[in-house]
Amino acid sequence: MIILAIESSCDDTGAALIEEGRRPLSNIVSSQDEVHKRYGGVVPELASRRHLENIVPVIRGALEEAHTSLDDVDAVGVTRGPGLVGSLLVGIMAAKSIAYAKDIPLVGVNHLMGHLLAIFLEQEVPFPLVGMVASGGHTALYLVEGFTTFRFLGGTRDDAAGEAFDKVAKYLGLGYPGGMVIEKMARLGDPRAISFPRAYIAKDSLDFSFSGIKTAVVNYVRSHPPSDDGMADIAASFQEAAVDVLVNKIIWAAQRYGVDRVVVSGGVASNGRLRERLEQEGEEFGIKAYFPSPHLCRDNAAMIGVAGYHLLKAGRRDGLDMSAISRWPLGKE
Amino acid sequence: MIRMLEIISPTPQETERIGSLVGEMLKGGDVIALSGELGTGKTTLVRGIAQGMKFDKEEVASPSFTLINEYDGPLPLFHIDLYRLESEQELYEIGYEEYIRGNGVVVIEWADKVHQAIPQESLWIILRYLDAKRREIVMKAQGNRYEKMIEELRRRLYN
Repeated sequence: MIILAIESSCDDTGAALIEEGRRPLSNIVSSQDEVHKRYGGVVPELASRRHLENIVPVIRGALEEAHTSLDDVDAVGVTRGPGLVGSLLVGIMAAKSIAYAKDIPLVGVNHLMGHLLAIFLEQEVPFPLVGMVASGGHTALYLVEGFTTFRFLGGTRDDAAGEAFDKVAKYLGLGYPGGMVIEKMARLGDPRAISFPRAYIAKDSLDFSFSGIKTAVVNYVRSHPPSDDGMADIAASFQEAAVDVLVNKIIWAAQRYGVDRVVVSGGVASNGRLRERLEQEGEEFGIKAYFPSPHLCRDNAAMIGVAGYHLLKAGRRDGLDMSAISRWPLGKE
Repeated sequence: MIRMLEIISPTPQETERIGSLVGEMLKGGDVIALSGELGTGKTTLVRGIAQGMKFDKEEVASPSFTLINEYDGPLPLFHIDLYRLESEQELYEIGYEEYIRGNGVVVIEWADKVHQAIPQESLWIILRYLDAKRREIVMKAQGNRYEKMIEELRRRLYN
């Protein structure tokens, strides 16, 4: 079974062809260089107009790279939410048109479910597992008991983890993307130089709060205007505080639910310090940590294809009247 | 009529409480414009406003990434965050005008980025950093309705 998957929930327009729910034949994201070169795409912004410009070249690119055509596609999976409605609708309309024209099944996918299943594009991980999505827009922990069985364990109460990295990076004048520039700067600094607060909310809580760490950095910079060296210490200490909370809560979640496998995805999962610390500390507790490759951690359509495949297999179908869902919690019902 | 109210908030909890007092007085069509640097408590204030409007404050998270969070209720709350906005044009592409003309309450973080696009009649709340804990909260009423609102707020805060 070959699924055409489409993702347009935020900045990037993505299309992918996935065979049997795990093998990517192609996985194109609009901001990837090859699309720019081959199709003259633009740097994507929030605007749905950009998705509109990108969607057809991206789908065409995905088909070409997979050496296939729409005639070989068995079903269409598309991100239905959460995200910006205007952006989501571009992907949804494209998916509906193709499903209608080729008379093949259509299924709407929760973006978070895609992130949680991205790892299966590279390796098998036995269930149950604890899954974490940490990105610019999301920070949430799940108990994943099967391909379509998710239980929400906790999430951020204010800023998402990636958002805190972006805002701190911008505040420190380090640029964008925040995660990458902070990690780079942090390598030159001492993670123990400044003790920024770790927000654990309540004992054993699996919720997160990153707003306080962000404010603590602002407070620190205001009272100790840093030299150039000082900047590296601030970046390293901030990163350490954020990583500490993420690592501890992921391990708590695994222990609480008696699970010895954790999967971390989303843009923040590319952070080297997080990977290193979680692998190390997980090992001490007999917990194995899995991370998809960075290109599968960020928003992409291949992960939507995996999720779509398993939803279809479980009998899910959506009609041509399917709408976008801006706020769509996963695993809370 | 007073047009301006200045409050010193010693803690995030107090900022939240002030927000909640504002939230209790809001009705459909109201527009609150927030400005203030990173970490001055804009989202904290919005959480209070949501609580005052009888929403679960735990549900309120930062919409920096999605630009808008919608909270459905008898009086809907549209929480807009323009942190990532790069041009005024983008504002219209997310359907801003429909929110502004709708029947809910609209709260806009980083409103100073699009000064021109904020309705003439609105309540501006400006947060300023004083020290690690304390924030100055300045409310500026633009229009009759909001002048009455901050007068009532002053009464509730100090009586």
